[in-house]
Amino acid sequence: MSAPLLSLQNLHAGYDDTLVLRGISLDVADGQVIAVLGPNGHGKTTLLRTISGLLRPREGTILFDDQAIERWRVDRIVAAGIVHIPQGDLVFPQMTVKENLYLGAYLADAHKRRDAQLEHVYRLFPRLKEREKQIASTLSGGERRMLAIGRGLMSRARLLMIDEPSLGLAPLITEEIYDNIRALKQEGYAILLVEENPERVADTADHIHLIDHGNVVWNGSAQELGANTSILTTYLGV
Amino acid sequence: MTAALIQTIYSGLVLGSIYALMAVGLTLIFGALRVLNLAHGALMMIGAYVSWLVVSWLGLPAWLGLPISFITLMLVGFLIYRLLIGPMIGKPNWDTNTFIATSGLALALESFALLVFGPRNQPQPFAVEGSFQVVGVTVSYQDLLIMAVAGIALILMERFLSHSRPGMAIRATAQQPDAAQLMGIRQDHIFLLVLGLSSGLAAMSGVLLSSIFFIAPTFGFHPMLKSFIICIFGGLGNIRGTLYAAFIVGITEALVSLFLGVRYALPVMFGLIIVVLIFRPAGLFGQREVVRL
Repeated sequence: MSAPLLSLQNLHAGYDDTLVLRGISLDVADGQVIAVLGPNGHGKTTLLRTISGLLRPREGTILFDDQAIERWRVDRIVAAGIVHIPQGDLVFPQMTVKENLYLGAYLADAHKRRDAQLEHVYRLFPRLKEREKQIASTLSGGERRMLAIGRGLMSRARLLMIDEPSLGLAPLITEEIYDNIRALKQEGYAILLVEENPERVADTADHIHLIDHGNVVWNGSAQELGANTSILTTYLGV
Repeated sequence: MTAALIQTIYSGLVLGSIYALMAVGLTLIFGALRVLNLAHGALMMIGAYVSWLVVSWLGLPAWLGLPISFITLMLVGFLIYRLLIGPMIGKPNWDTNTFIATSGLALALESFALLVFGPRNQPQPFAVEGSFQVVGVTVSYQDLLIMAVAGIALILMERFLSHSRPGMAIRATAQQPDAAQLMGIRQDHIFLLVLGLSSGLAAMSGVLLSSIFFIAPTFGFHPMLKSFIICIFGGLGNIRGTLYAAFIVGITEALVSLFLGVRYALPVMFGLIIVVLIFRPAGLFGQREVVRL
């Protein structure tokens, strides 16, 4: 088997004097969907922020495509193909949908092919094309999530990291977003998915990691997790 | 009476166009860096002196004063970011520290000007003579020059921010700094650019304002106070709102000066700002973020 696309080894990170990640190791292979589950405040978002370079790890390595990237600047990590779709979308509120998408193709490499890429995103999310000229702050929650994902796709992404794609959405809309995520998987993107609720990721993720207090406490397939009721009640309270 | 009124509104528009240049520079820094630059008035003053030096020391033609002053102050802005503001941003207490550092810089620049150029008022050479009469209003060529320069600069600025790649990156950084970084935008580059642009705009407004009055080491302070009022009126960080507010404040100032006297201009404006902040805390044109889930 070839080396995984992304490999985290013994990752430690945190803010000021609190350590949030305490030795996380996990792999994402090309074309795989890996889910990271865990209760709120146990380091899921911190994990993604550390991989994308917004936060420096204190210890451990991040290998992407066999290169150690844990000391790289954010823009270099983006250019390498890691795209972080942040929690709560963080779209640019006073800009139009199209401007938001164009900013996704900000880096020189992506800028050259931005119109082709825009077509591609519009095919995936026809709703965004309809709303092209609308100001992002006036979109509905579901549309904003689509915009955040579409904006991420505008760069030359190889790995998508999506932080709680179901957060704050009605069940039907969540379904729609997950259909989109499965479509992205079909297109061959590697995806690292962060969620709180195991049911959401059950039929999407190839492999699931459970995080508790900044450590991976369990990992396995969705079926294995579903069968393991003691794990579910202990860590996720379902 | 009507002639006096028209004349007053007209001078309000001239003042407003200078205030707009100055306040847009301030609000640009606040929008992108969340730093209140208290050296903005001092940069304006230095800009005015640079234009004066170009003519009186270097003997170059007067019209070169404006572009040379703009470029020089842009470089000064880069230096201020690299040496002063940049090293503080993101460190603990950076907001208080930059506040103190920029007011210290203002004092240092004013003392520097006093030492080198002396306390005497100097005339601004970037000026044209002459005037004509229209419907009872005296229009000077200098006023037209001021409005043309300010208008062109503001339109170019608007174009730059709305359509160019670096301009969009500035707006993205102002609206959502984390997401902007995740697009691959280098925050330090954007901050550097914003400091340069803002200082360049301060220089332009300094040259234009001193062409109506005069140049002196502390002449930037009162205009800076008015610019703060304008920025708060328009919603700090909101460029379009700042533009409208600049003209409202310019005309209000001219009207108050006509009916009550010049010394009431600032008190009336501070009174207005209190009223505005009571009823619209985000400024007259400030938007509260619309959030729908």
